[in-house]
Amino acid sequence: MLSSAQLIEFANNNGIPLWALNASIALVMAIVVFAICGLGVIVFVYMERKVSADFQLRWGPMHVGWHGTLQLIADALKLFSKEDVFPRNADPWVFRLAPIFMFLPAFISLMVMPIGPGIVIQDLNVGLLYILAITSISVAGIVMAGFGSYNKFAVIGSLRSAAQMVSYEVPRALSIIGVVMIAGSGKLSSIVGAQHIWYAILQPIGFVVFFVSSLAETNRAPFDLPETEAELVNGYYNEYSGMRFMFFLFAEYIALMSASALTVVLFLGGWHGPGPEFLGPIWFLVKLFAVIYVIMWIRWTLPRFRIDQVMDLGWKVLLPLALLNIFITGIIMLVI
Amino acid sequence: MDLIKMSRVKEQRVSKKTPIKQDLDKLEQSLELELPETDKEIDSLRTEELIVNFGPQHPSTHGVLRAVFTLDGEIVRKIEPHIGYLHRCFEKIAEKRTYAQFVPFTDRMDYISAVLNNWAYSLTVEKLAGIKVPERAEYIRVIIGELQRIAAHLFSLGTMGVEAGALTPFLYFIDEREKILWLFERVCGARLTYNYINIGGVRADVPEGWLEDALSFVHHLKKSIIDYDKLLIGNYIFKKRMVDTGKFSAVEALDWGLTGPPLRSTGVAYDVRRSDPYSVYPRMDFDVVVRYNGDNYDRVIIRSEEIKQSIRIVEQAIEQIPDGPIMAEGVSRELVPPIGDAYGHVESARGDLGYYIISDGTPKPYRVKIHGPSFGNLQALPAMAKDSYIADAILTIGTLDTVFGEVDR
Amino acid sequence: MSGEHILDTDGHDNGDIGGVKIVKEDGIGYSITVNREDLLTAAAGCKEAGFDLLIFVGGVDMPDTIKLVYRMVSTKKVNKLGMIIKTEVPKSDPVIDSVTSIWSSANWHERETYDLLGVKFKGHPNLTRIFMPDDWVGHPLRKDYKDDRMIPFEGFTTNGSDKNE
Repeated sequence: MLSSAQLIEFANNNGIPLWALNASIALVMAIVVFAICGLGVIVFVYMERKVSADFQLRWGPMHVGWHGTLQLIADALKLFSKEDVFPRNADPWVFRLAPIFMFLPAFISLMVMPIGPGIVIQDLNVGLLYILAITSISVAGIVMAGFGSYNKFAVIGSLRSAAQMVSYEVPRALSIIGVVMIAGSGKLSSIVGAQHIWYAILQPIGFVVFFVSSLAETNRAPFDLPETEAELVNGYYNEYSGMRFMFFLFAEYIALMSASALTVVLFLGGWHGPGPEFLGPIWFLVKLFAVIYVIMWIRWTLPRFRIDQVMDLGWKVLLPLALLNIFITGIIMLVI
Repeated sequence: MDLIKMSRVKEQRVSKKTPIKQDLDKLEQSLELELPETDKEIDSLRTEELIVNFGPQHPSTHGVLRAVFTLDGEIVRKIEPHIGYLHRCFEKIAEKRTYAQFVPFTDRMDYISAVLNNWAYSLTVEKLAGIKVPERAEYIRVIIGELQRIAAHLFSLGTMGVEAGALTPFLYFIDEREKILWLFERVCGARLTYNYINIGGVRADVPEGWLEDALSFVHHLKKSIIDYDKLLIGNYIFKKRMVDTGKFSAVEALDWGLTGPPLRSTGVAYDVRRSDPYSVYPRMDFDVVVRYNGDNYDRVIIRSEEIKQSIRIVEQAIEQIPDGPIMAEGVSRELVPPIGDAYGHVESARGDLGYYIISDGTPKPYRVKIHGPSFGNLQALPAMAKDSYIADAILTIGTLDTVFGEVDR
Repeated sequence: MSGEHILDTDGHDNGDIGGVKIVKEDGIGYSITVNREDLLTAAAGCKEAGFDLLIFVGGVDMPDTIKLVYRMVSTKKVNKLGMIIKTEVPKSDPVIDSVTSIWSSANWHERETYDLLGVKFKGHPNLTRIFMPDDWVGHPLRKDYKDDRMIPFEGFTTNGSDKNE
């Protein structure tokens, strides 16, 4: 998409160098994705508040706009205009960079997400590897936030997070291998293209392992140990306020979005659905929201695990299951 | 910068002077020699303990507990509770008030179960002054007191869920508690600090139709509590978190002076309603709930089971309640008990709540000593949560169910 | 005759603990009054007799002495009873043995009594103030306690009007 023939021709005719063309297209794309992210986050936060309210016999936001639809915009404005509290002993650079490090990986992992047939910003051949590699960077952001803010709660939270993310990275990556084996490609659009039967049905074990470890990767309940408000008072982003806090919130929801999108792409048939092909993005969105709803449902129902139980689950249950999944897939492929 | 430069210079010098082979040999030799040394280093690595100050402003310290945790990684090696942030010295205030004037202060002690505090104080003053409380008032006290116990236990179960990370059950429990508060509001107009049970009886009779409403509420709760049990207590993760954490044996519990649900969870069936019966409890048919494991899970279960027992008591009391006066005759605001002392205690939602009052023959008490069960229960925390995970220590604070109005008084 | 006796006969024949007669008082139940030297033996005797749960330790500021009250209950016997040990220490020398060696739970109760009434407990592991700040001067529950920030207040009269007005 970046270098379509007409655009290159247009550039050649008008004497625009190719690098400038690519850069400007990339910039436009980034802004578009950023806008989508912003909108998505507002929608997801609103959805989270309404879903949780529904579960908890409450109304949720009701006063600003119709059924509180403008509440999130008001909240965002409030967070923008709040004072930026900077802890005296915090490391200035690390403290400031941490929210960006949190935010970027989730953000750029959306670049390879095919939301419809041919609708993808950059369809990398190694898209799957790219996503796995990129999303694990966000742990750096968490650790930076923890160590940079000079707060013991934050340090404990970030250490927990590092341990958790590192140990769930492994089953998550292994659970995907089954999908790659069936689809025969690491390119996300070809995985979706090959997916006439949902891989959630062909790969039930892989799906469960992937979903659970995605929850752990995105620090969602029941694996939200790094930010346990009952023990660590929101853990690693304890010291952040205003804008920076909003960045963490942003990053959290974009990570949720990207994890759910990846689930849809890998296991739930991506854009496939009944009806003509141009309905693809709509099916994608429907599935995306369904997955996010399930994740919220889990969050607002279950208590959270303890750190040692999280580790046990990762290494003693999910990892063997993921290996078993690869083994079974391999045998079946050999037989067929 | 200088250091980096110097090290570079050193490297160069070394590499210039010695051939690579010799260097490698030296390296190997040094590695072999140093192996035991590095082992020692690894052993001596984990030495630093982290001291973290939890509270007094912390979401799960139930008020104003300040606890200094000494952490070894995720494990709590030592807890030092510091209390007194809510200390108002009610015992001193009591000496300046008349007997009747002190009743509202007892509300502020354990503000989650205020009526039971009213009751304990009134009971003691009645003992001191030899007042006989009319039958109907006793029944109303039992009904109100048991509803209050249900409310306090519901609150405790809800916050327990929050501490374990389940935010939704809290709202369900609070919703049920709210219905109890509405009932209380109809009786005395207040929602949290009631000042309802007074010396000699209760302040007002229950309104028309209230008893039926209370009965229909407990019938409703009887059904819904089963769902809530499934939602929170039956939850796999909740069980996994709670079972075998914060364990205490009966011997330890008695040594540390636990009362109430924490004591009963270790297998000691000590309930003031049975062991030193007051009011009309001897006529009630209910069980003292006892569990034997003494861990966090048992403490939670006991609260849930006690709600069921309290429902039984409310049902019986509403069935048996007679007509009659609700205030003892001859109890005036100028109550002057004879010289002497009295000790009265009730089973509050958190344990054995006692008042020891000395009268010197004046309208004001000479000394009011208050024993809040939370105070006794909280001091077992360091022993109970030692060598557990941080998350479990927080849960232990929760299952002890301390209310700081009562700890600090 | 040992303390076991009172537990079995429900108080008709009260018996004694460590040679001190158990009396039954109205409004309190069973109590024994001991000298301060005998406190530890009396407390140990009570625990021996089955009063295994210490409920509280409290102090009262009497004109010349400070009266100490130890309340304990028995959880083992079927008819669970309470017992109060009463003792006194002179104000000039408010020192008494700590019972923390018998019940660990006495720890905070004794700290509280020290904090508010100034009774010193010998053998207490950590006798510091518990409610008041560590640098507080005086013991608030003493009748003669004075403080610069205290507003002179004689309390309300029984008919509800403020005496100070």
